Amino acid sequence: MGGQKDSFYGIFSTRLREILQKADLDLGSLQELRLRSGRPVLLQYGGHEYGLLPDGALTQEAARGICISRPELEETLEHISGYSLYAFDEELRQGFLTVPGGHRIGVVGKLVLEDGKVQCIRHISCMNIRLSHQIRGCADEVLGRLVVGGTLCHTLIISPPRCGKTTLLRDLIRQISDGTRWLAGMTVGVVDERSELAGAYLGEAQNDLGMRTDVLEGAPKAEGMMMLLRSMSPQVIAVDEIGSSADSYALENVFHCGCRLIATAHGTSLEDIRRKPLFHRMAQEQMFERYVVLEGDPAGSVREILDGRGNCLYRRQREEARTGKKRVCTEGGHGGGDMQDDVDRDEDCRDALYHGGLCADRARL
Amino acid sequence: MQEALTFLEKEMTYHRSPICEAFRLAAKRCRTRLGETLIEAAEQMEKRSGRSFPLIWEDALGKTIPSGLLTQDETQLFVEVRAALCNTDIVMQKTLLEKYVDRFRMMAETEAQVCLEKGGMYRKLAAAAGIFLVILLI
Repeated sequence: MGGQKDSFYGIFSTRLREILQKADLDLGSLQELRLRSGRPVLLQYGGHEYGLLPDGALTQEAARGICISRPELEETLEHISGYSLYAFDEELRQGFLTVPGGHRIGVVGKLVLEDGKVQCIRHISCMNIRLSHQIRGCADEVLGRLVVGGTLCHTLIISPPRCGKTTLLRDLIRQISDGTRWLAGMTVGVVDERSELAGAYLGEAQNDLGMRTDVLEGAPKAEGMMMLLRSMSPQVIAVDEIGSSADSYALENVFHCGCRLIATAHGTSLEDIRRKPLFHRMAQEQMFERYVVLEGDPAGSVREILDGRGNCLYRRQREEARTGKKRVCTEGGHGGGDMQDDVDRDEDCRDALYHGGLCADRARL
Repeated sequence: MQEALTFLEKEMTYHRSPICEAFRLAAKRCRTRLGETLIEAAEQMEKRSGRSFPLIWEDALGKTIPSGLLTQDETQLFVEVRAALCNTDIVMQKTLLEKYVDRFRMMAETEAQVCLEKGGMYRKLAAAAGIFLVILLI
């Protein structure tokens, strides 16, 4: 953990690094860090926003916190890129770069355009450092609901930004690849366009994605999916943040080639997704067999799991979740038990769904 | 330097290798003292001491190239190369590196021309001295 911290703090300018070392933060709770030229440093820590005092203490009065100067921002940028900003030009055109550990750094500044396309970003003035968290086991309670009769369903994880969809996808990939009580291990092909899932740095994966996982790093999603299909014969393809029209053709190919697909998309609900042109027809034709909707209160919570027709397989009750109980199923008469019991009981429900009908509880609903 | 820069340019602009990696790869292929300079600079960058690249490059040059080995013009050009090496824009970097490769090539050609001229002059001097010696002996 110490090494991980040192490696993370190593990307900051000397002064900020020293202050962060004094602060001795728990990186597991640190979600993001925003650096704006001439403005206070802001941290999202344990779900709250804090400023950083010179002695390393956190303050809720963010305006009292230390400010970062432009030279410090430039120094940070030099460290982030290893003095090689040119090597990240493709990523920078999309407004981010990835550092060891899979942490994503979003940047803004002055865009230089040519023929209406972004050529580069100059005078970078703000940075948003989003920490990648590998939470082993966070998909334990979800995976069981994505398997029907021993087959993995085509699944779309829907979530607003910062609600843990990449973290959930990462753990799903690991579990599918290694195998669990629900599934035997499967070959997974991952298109990791932004090096977030594997957290690869200089070609070396920093996160564990399982023993049967092939990672295609840096490839555009549509092209990457087609390449994986042609070259690696994966049983499952996993891809993060689909949404562009270019993805449509590749997605259809994946759906119709015998591969299973797990993808994520930005949105707050299934209705949200149905309104997007790319997903509208897919939702109508029930190409995705499962939708996992996440929410940010607390981050990474599964709000609901729906089948291809939009029927609820699982829904979290907010009140009980707030009292500390983990997650509660509201399917028919299934409410009240803990998640593991739900999972066991849901096996009948899933089997019923698999055979074309709804379980008795659902029918009552 | 010309070869090293050409190699660095390919590593950096085509393979998008980070500068440390490109330096180390170039150093492996460089049999002159410049290889040591590249390794020294790569090591300094990996320390993340907060120093800027131009400073690191100048220090590495100072540590590894003994004074007197290079002419003033050459030293100046070596120092100037830092602007190309740490340029943030890939197109600009490629252009600058090519420009410096050309400058080193021109410098080498001028040096060769001077050597040639000097060689010719020494040959003429030697011939004259020989003739003078023969006359003296006669």
